[in-house]
Amino acid sequence: MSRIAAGDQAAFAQVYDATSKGVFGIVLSVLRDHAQAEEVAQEVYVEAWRSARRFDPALGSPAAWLNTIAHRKAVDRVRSAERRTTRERRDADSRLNHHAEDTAETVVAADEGRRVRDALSQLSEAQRTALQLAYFEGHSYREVAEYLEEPLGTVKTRIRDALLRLRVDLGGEVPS
Amino acid sequence: MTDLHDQIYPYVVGALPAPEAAQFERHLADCEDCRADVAALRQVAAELSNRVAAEPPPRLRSAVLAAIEDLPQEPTYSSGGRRLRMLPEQQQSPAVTPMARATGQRSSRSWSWMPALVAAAAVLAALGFGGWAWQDRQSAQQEALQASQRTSQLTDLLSAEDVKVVTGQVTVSKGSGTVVLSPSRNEAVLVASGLPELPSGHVYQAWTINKHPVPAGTFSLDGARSLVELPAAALRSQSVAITVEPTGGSDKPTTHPIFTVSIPRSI
Repeated sequence: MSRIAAGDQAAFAQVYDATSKGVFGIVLSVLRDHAQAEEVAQEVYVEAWRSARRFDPALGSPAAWLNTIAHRKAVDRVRSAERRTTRERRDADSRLNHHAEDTAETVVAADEGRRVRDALSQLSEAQRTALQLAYFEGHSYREVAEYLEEPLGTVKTRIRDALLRLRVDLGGEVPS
Repeated sequence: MTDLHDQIYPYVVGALPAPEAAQFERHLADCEDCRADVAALRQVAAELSNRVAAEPPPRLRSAVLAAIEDLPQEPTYSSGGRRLRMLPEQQQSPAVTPMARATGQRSSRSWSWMPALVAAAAVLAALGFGGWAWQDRQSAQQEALQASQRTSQLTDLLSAEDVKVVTGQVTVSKGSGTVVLSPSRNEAVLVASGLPELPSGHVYQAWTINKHPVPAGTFSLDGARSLVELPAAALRSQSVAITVEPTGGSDKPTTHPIFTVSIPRSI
C-alpha cells in the first residue's frame, strides 16, 4: 500500500489482480446487474487509487479496505435507485432458498469460496438469511426486519451472532 | 438510546442507514476497542465476499488502469489543521472519518468530519462570522442583516449529519478559503476571507474541477469575507478553485488559481 500511496501503478495493478474477483463479486451480488457492477467496480478502484494515502492499516488489510469501499458503493447505488418492488422482493425470497445455485453461475470455485461456504453452513438458517439480505443484497437492517417481519433487535442480534461465529470460524487471517 | 458499540455489526456489513453509519464512524474515531473490532470484522466481511467471487471481464482491468494513469492522488489530510485553529483541541484530533485518518504527512489543508452541531459554532467562529467590524450605523445594519442571513445559511449547512469542511490557503495573500459541503443536502458553500482587493473591471470566480474547470460563480469582495454558494457539482468534483477574471466571469480560467482545495470523497 505504501508503494501505491507513492503513486506506483504496477503495485496497484497487483492489488487489482489480488482483489478484483472479490470486489466485482460483492458489487455484482448487491447490484445484480453486470453492466452496473462493472461501472461501480471501476469507481471502487479509482477511489482506492485516489485515497490510497488515507488508507489506515489499523482498520484492516488492503483487501478488507477495498471490500468495504466496494460494498458501500454498491449499496449507495442500490439505495439511491428506486425502492425495490414487492415482486423483486419475492424474487429475493425464492433466491434465499437457492442461494447456492443462484450464484453458481458466476462463482469462482476457489478454496476461499469453499471455506466461506463451510463457515456459513455452520450458521443457523435465520442467521444466514439475515446476512444474505443485509450483506449480500445490501439491505439496511430495518429493511431486513420489515421484510422478515421480525423486530429490529432480533435482526441485529442475528447479524451480530452470525459475525461473531464467522469471526471464529474464519479467523486466523486477522492481522494483528 | 442505542448502544453505539453494538452498531458495529450492522455497520461492518453495510446495513446501517447513512446517518447511523456516520454517527458510528464518529464513535469509532474515539473508541480504540471498536477500531480493533472493525479491522477484524472487515476481514470477515471481505472473506464473505469470496462466496460470491466472480471474475470481472478483462476490460475492467484495462479500464481501471487507464483511469488511474493520469489521476492525481489526494493528499493525506492532516487532522491538526492550522486553518481552523479556533476549533477546540479535542474537536480536532478525533474529528476525522476513520478511512481518512491522517498518517502523519503534513498538509496545508485540513478536513474534518465533525459532530455537526458541536462544530458549527467553532467553524463559524474560525471563519470570522460573529465578529464584524462596523464603520457606521447604517452599514452596520446592512451588514448585520447580510451577516445573519449568511450565518444562518452556513449554520444550517453545518448542522447536516454528513457535513465536511475543507480549508486551504490563498497563494497571493494570507487569506484562506473554506469549502463546506453536505452530500445529503446536496449543498456546498465556499467561504473566502483575506482576499486582496481587485483592480476595477475584475472579479473573483470560483470553479469546480473534474479534470476540467467548470464555472461556479463570480463574486467580489464583500467585507472581510465572501460567501459563495457553489453548484451541487462541487460535491462530485475533485477540487474547487478561485481565479481572478474580467468582470462578468470567464468560461475557462484566464489566470492561475489563487486558491485550490481537493474535495475529499467519502468512502
